[in-house]
Amino acid sequence: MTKTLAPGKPYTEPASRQELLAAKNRRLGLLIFQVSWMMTFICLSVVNWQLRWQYADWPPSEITLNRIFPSIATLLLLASLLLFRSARGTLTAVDARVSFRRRWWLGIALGFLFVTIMAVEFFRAPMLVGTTYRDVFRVMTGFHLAHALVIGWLAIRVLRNPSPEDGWAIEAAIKLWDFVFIAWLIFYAVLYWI
Amino acid sequence: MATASLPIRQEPRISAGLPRVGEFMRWSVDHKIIGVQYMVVALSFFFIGGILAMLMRWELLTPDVDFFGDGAVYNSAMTMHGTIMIFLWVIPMIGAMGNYVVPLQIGARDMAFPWLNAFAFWIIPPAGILMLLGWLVGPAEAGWTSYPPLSLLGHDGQLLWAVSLHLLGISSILGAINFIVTILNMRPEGMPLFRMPLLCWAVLATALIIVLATPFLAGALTLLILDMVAGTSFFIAAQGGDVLLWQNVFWFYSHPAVYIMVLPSMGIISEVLSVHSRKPVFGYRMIALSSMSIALVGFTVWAHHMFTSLTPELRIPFMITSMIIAVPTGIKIFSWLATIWGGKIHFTSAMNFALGFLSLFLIGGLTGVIVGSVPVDIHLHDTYFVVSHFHFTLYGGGVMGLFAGVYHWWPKITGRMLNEGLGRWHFWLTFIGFLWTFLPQQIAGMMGMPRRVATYDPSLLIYNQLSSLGAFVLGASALFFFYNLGWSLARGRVAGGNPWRALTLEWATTSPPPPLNFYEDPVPYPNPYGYGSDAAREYLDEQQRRFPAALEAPTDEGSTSASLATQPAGTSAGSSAGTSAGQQQ
Repeated sequence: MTKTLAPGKPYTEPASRQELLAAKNRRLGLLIFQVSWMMTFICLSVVNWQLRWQYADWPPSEITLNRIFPSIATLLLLASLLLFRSARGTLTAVDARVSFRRRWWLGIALGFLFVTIMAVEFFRAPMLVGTTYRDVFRVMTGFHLAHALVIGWLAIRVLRNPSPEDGWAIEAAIKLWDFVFIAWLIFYAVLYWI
Repeated sequence: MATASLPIRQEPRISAGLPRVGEFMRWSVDHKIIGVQYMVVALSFFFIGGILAMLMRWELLTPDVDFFGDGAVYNSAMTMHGTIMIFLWVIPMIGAMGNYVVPLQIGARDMAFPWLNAFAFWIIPPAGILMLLGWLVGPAEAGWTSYPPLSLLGHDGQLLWAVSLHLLGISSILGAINFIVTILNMRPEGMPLFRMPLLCWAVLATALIIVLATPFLAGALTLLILDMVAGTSFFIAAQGGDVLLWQNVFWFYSHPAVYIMVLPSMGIISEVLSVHSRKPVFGYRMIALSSMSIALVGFTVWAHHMFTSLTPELRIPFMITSMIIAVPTGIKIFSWLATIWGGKIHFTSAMNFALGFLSLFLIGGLTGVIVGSVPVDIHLHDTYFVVSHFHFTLYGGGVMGLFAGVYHWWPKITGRMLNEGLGRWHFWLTFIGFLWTFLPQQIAGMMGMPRRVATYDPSLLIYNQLSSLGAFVLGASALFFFYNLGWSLARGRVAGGNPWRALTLEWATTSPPPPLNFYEDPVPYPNPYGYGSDAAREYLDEQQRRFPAALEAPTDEGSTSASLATQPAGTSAGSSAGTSAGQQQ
């Protein structure tokens, strides 16, 4: 924007203050994004509820819901989240990058298992072709899968150069994975239990 | 209150210089550039939306379809008018005001996430163009509310409409995240939340609504798009879907969106009324908290748009919440009246529009209470009474507030004053044209004229002709506005740092401000609205010495720009506000 600047430089803050502020901003920004985007998941849950009101049987009586695989998937997702968190704990110790990588990879592997199971649910699952039940089931699981894949990819990218000094990438990946887990808990409850 | 003052012994500064035009045409992360970009885009779409409104009123001069030749064309004009005015004029204009003014008001150097800020803006022009491109493939015709099944029967333009709206929603969420973080984290020392300027409170409340409600629009539009392209049937009743599902989810976003559109204007009004009547804001805390409670209660009223299709036992609770939301609004109205009461009112254009807001929005609010009651609404539902009501809130409220904001902050943005004479013409034509347009619509509505149709019963002819004539006056008023903007850029008097002698921080720097906004660590005046005290007068006098409207003798090369050399000393047209500035306080 500079063309003609009045005498004297524009005021700049000390670098340390700026960095602290930037870190504070990133944390709050991510938190608000999480809360905001969680509303889309809540929106789809509300859609599910409203659609089922007009049906006497929901899910349709032809379908027997298999709760075992989704429950296993949920546990896997929880385990991967805990692994990510514990990996972050090891990174703060002196030179624990090997341990970090091991746990982080394991977390990603478990996350991948979750994605696989839910992808099978998406394609196979309680399907009656052309029913609203199938539509809403697929939209919800598909929407969640898309988020899990994108955020999982971000978690893989974190492995490029993990260091305790640059903790934000790891912290953000973990918080986004928290988001994937909480969003899934809502859908898991709505799709399989309520 | 006498503790804060500007650092003295600094050489006076006039202007940091306006950026070149090219800087506004490309990617920039400076919040001031982005604010102007928002404003230019929004004003362009305001012009397009306004033309559509004129065409519609031309059609409605007669009871039959003649001008458009086909009712479907009228439907598309009506759809695009509503969508453009809401999503491409009022909401981006809030981005403009918020982006330009909020960081300055809280003494920040930029928004919290400058890159994200630019990204949020650059989604808007392509999304707007996408929506306009609908005309090439068969435009959207289902109204801005896009109710299925109508919206599922339409042309491809309906799909473009939905995709475009999806993009605009994402832009507005990203912008809102930025506003919340900036306002909560980036205030300077000495500015706790309850000493923050009221515009920041209003933008904060708006941003909270956006982040919580707009995801519902995203959800609803995703399902609508899937119904259009993927063969699902969420909204197709014949295939197991539910048409009311759309209404519920859409209004869960769109009713709070009404407050998204009017809350920032309420913030602008709070600033303008106090500054231009030289009095502290009455009930600062109540105005701030009522913004928050409007945001909160706004989430509980959505079904009043569906009284006619709602199960009867649900009508009463939604009627009650709709009445309750009038309470915080009433608190604001009374606080504003008490603010100007006994004040030294300067009838600047900004003040005129703020006072216009007060009277017109009051009618908008009161007609809202009328249609908020179930028995009356059953009669008035989908009539021109509703059209009139929401134009009173969105134009009489939202847009009047935005105009007040433009007149108030234009000197800060460009460094030049607007022409007060043209501003007065703009205001009075707007005010009279507005009432002329929308009061006859109220009567036509009560007599049963349905909205969204190009034909009507010949007995309603007189009301429609009156309304159309008023609309043409209203349309003409905008021309004065656009001309005024151009006039100011070419010939406007140099504003100086603080032409209105206002106490908030955006005025404690040059107009326009330098790239990082301030020349030293900004120290807020303890009470942003503490007008009328000796301390405030001293503070403002000192500010005027540092950022004068014109230098008597240039101190050095850097502090005088070419524009100053030719500057007459506050005698040109439109200087009434500026010349009286010295007498204010």
